[in-house]
Amino acid sequence: MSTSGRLGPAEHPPLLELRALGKTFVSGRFGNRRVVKAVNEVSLQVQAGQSLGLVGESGSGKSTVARLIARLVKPTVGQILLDGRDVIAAEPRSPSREYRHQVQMIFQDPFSSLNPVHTVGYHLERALRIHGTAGAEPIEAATASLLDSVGLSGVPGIVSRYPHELSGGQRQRLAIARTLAARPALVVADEPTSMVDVSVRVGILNLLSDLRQDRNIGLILITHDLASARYSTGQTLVMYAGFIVESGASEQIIARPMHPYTQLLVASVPRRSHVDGGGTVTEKDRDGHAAQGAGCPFAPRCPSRMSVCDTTMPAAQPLEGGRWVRCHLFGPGDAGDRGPEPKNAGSYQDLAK
Amino acid sequence: MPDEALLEVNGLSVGFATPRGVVLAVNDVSFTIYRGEVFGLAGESGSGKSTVAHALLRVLQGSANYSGSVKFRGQEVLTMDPVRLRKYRWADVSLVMQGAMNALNPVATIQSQIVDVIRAHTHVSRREARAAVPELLELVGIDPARRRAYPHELSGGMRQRCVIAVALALQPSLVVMDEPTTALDVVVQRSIMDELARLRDRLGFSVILISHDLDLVAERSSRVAIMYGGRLVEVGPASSVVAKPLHPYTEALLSSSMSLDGPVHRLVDLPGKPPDLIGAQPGCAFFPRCAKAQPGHDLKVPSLLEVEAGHQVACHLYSSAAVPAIEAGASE
Amino acid sequence: MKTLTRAFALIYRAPRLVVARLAVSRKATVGAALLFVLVMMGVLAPVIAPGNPMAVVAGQNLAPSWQHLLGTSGQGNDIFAQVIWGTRNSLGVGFVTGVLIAVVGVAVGLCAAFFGGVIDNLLTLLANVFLVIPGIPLLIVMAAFLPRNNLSIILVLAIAGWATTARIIRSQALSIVRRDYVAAAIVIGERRARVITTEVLPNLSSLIASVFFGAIGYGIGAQAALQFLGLGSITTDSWGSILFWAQNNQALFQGCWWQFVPPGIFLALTCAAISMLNFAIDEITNPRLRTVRQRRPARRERAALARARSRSAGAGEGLDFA
Repeated sequence: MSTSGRLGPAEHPPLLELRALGKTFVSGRFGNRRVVKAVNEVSLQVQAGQSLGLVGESGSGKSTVARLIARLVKPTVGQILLDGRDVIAAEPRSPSREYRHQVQMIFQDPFSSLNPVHTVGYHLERALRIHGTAGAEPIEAATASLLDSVGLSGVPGIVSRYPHELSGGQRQRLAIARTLAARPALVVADEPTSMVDVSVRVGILNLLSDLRQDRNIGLILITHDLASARYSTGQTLVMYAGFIVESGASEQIIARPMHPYTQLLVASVPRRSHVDGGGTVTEKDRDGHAAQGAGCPFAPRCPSRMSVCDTTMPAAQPLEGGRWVRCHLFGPGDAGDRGPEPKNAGSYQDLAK
Repeated sequence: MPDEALLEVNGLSVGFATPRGVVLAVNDVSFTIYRGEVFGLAGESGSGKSTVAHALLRVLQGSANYSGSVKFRGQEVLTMDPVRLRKYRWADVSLVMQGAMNALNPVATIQSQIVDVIRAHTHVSRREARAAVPELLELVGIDPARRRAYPHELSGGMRQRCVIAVALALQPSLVVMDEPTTALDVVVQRSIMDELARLRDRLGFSVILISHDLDLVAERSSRVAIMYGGRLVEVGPASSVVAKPLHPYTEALLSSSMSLDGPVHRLVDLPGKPPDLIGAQPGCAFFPRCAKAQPGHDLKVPSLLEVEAGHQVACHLYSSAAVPAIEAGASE
Repeated sequence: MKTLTRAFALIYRAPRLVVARLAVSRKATVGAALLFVLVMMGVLAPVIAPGNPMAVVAGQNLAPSWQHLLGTSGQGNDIFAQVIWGTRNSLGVGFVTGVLIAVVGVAVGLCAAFFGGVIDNLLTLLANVFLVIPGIPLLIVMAAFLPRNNLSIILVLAIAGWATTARIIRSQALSIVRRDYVAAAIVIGERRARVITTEVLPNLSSLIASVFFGAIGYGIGAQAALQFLGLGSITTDSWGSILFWAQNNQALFQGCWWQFVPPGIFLALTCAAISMLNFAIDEITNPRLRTVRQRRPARRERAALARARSRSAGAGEGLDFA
């Protein structure tokens, strides 16, 4: 199910590369200013046909990363490179049609990402017309083939139906069909299954995976659900307070999480194997976890907190197997052969069993 | 182990009259809740689990029609007079509704909301009610100093704790929680559920935990019931329902959901759609989607039969192998 | 231009369902019927009351009689004819004013909401300025300086009244612009002009209809007020001018009720009809405002429920409802 996600020696540049991307939101004025650094120093690479998972909770900045890649918001710092070309430098004000053709996005809420006054056919027709991807085919045929590729051809008369007449899963498939109409090279899926019925989630993820493999599309899957990331992606990046704190093969990250936050995440997921109780992870609720100050944003909650964590943000430390982590527990010279126990006691790791 | 039976639900059905016909959202559901247990109710959207939750407190909208019986400590709830009903609600059984944390009054402090609830169901003065607030907040893990905060000033997790505080304000014996952590992050979810476990140890109330997240329900409940199409299809101890699911729907649900355990292999989701609840299907509601369906299963509705100790299932595959119907809860 | 016509086509498509629903609503039927009657009154004026309404036809201040159904004015004009013919001006000016206010208000509100930032600040400032200036004095001052004709009145009313509409549209448009389907349209590559007209505008159609009717009501009422104050054209015949002449004539003191009661009634009826249509549109677009039909389903439905349940339970027990 998951591709290995090795980055390998690149003969040509990656399909998408983000270099030290950052986004700061400023709101209010005159003494009431609020500065929120939603995305900090985010760097990643995606190849064609590869699936990359971006995992984090609300406030981690993952949705902002999605909107940055889709160029719905402008980055404050950093670069976005598509096929090696710096798109922000080339088109600073608004993205070209070519960019829209190459990069598409699937939104989280299938109930609000489709316009209620337009039919199913209209949604697909617009996408086809804008990018001219129907070619010589009549629009109806192109629409039908799109619906077929997402598994909606069995619904009678669907082309003239309105979104509210479809179920959540069907709407999400329609949204996927719409992005496919543009024949993109890269698709960013922002929590595509979180607002869809449980029994339908697997189908949607399978569909995305099949389309990715059939059409060699790069897929970035943004989710808060670790199990989805494990199921559907080869590589996963874990985000916290706008930073990427850990990166590696999806199964590896979940089986042997290194960063204390990743360990906390993995330990917190409910598991049916822990019938009648499960571990207790004692944690007081926090009111949001935005990065303030210069130190590691996770320090206040970290059981392995050290004094250096409050003053400096750790650099990305490569570990074996292509993984890396941003944590002071892992200094240079650590090959990552350290087992589940980090230097200090008090990890969440024990509870992840 | 025979504990005091707190709530006995027998043949509960709830129907709504709509222009298209009668929608049977809940169809002949029976179960019993004992003192101090956590009873998990799992199912997808449209399975009727939320309707059951609301029916237990009779807070469904006016066009709902109830039939059957809901007995709390022997007293019939569905025919209770308004005075007794007001005492029953919140002091005996309280409800945390889906998305409740977003339904807190945005222009009232959390203190005043708790006071409102207390005074709506009891006859204490405003001062007395206000005095009870700090302790209640501390009980759920909120700093009492924040009692004058407005809901939007609190994080999602803290708002949910407020809602739980409101639900516990009159120390009920049973709390019904409908998707209490669905909108919350997984870390916050765990801390809320842990908090709930601590509160249960301390106050001894029972919980009906309703969720579509089978893993959550399995992890936290002692008994689990699965609902499909308005009916109860399987009930049993959480460990055996998860390890040895009897009903094909439970099996399909478990095998089509992603988890962190086990090898990663391609999963197949359930084909078909949930049943149309208009009118009544003559046979098993799961028949059109069942991989193990056999001819004849669509002719008669299967009744809930006990197959193993405490583990019941409503499925024709077991009708010969089982002891004839024992109503849920009357086991020994 | 093409996108604009497409947008209008979409707006009119949505109300097709609305019209079907309107037929079911009692308020809408009554309101629409009333409005239709009034409009017909104006259209068929030459048939109902032939002749020049401003002509002196009889003695002054005559009470209603069979020759003059609503009596005569202080100048000897037939009030009945004046009221019938006055419908044209009153409704006409009101309607045009309504259209103008709706168009300007929607355009400003939409642009402010969609573009945000500096444009929003400027437009909102502009609207606030016009809102703060008190309406009637503004009308009076403007009317005093402009030539006394219908166009001036329309202009004056529109300038005084567009800002409220703009604010209303803007606040609703703000919530629509933030919806995912607008972002999705942008990501799929739609140009901004198309997004505004084909994605945002159709979702405002019910609100636009509502403010449109409100603006018409305002136009009719405010025009009557201006005419009454003598700021309109003295030679035109409208309900407000009838009131003006009645006032001039001291009709109240003289007890000539037929000179001011009929135009007043017609003004009230028109505004009532428009309000009813407005409420009906609100009900259709916001289902929560619909009055709940019944608490318990009809006996037929209860029986159906019982049958459904007993059928599914398999046994024929007589289960009753709690």
